[in-house]
Amino acid sequence: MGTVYAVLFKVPIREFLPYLATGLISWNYISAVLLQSPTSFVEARAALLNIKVPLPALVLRVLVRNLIAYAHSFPVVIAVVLILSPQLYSGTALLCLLQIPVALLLVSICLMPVGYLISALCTKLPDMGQVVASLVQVLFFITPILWPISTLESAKWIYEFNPLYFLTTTLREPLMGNWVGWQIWAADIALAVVGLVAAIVLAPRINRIVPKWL
Amino acid sequence: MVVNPEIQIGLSNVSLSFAPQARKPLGLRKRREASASNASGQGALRSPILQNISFDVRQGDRIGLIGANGAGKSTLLRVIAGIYEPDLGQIYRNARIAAVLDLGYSMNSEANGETSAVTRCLYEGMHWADIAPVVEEIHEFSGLGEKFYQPVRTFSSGMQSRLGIALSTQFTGDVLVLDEGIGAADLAFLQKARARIEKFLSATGTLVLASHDESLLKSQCTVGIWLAEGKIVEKGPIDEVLASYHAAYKVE
Repeated sequence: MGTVYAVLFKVPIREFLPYLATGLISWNYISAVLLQSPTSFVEARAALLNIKVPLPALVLRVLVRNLIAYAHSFPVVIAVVLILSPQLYSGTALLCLLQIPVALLLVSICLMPVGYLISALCTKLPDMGQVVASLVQVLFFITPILWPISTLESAKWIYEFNPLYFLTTTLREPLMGNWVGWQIWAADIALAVVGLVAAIVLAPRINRIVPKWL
Repeated sequence: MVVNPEIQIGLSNVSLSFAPQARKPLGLRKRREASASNASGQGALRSPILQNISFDVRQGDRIGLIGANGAGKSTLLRVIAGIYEPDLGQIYRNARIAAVLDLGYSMNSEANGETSAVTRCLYEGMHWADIAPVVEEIHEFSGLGEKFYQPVRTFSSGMQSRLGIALSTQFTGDVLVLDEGIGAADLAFLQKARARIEKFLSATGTLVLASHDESLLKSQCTVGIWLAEGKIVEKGPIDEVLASYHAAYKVE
């Protein structure tokens, strides 16, 4: 796959593969959380009908599950970068890797309310799970994972208004040996605040009604 | 609300209904007609499960819930256990409540008995450090021996319910909320389970039991509550309530 797109975008494969690998690991974490959220409450139906389970714990369960998956892919991605473009990690660039825990934490905080709201919605309307799956697939193609941002210089708005661009970039930049720009951090924090406010406002109602929807 | 230390659970005018459900799937056109005809009237069909339920549970009470299928017994137990919050009315709790509603909800068919037990301990809010001895106790009580370490899907249904009972009766509180359906375990094991519950009850434990088994109700309960269509029909000594429950069914 890497070879095909390297040729397609006329980028040397040594540059392209690390870009693709770091993008995919970041995207996989985000998309897996979105894709698994629709069933997170329904899966725990038996427990929810037998004991008081705080619903956010079920969202955390999805996050933790996918963080573990992330940890498994992590060494592979690091190896790809070291083999193909070791210069990315030369000198102080190595320090950029220290941003990873913060980036993961912040992205997870952004995903938490989104996962919670999707979970609640899809408990009531299970078919919405298919809609989420289709949306995530479309977003994959319009988010710069496969293609370098530079190829879209003339139509920046395509990614500038895409929240998933900010989230993937937050996770990808440290892996590429770059510092995450302050605009990206700011966008993440804004996303987290908006999401958390929405979730906290709706939470009392959702927590009360979800057991009845099961 | 007046706080009486003797009252462990108090329900006042508790009502609960589920989201409107269409009686059967409607086509788009019919659905539009239905919603149009409802727009002027009472709104969509709501199914009230519980209506104006009020009663107190005092320490040492043995309450038996009776009623036909769908009368709201299990739903009421879930309200008491805090799983459903009432739409109207209030519930007051001053006790730790242990609810046994479905056996073995933490059993995962791919996992083994041990993992299921650990999962249940975590659901009960235990800390990792305290879990090991409890899991060993569950293992011992279930009498499953080495089978405890095999995946649950390889268990016979009797073995599954042994594990379920062992898990469910492990955790007690001040009030035991029990939905019947002890399942397919063999007789000797059922006696073991019953002995465990009776031991808890003799230590001034409080019981709320929903059952159709009259000998069980008569032997375990002192107070009977008869539910029909989500309302309390009668509350009183268990023998009297059972008698009028029977009388009503004979007339029908």
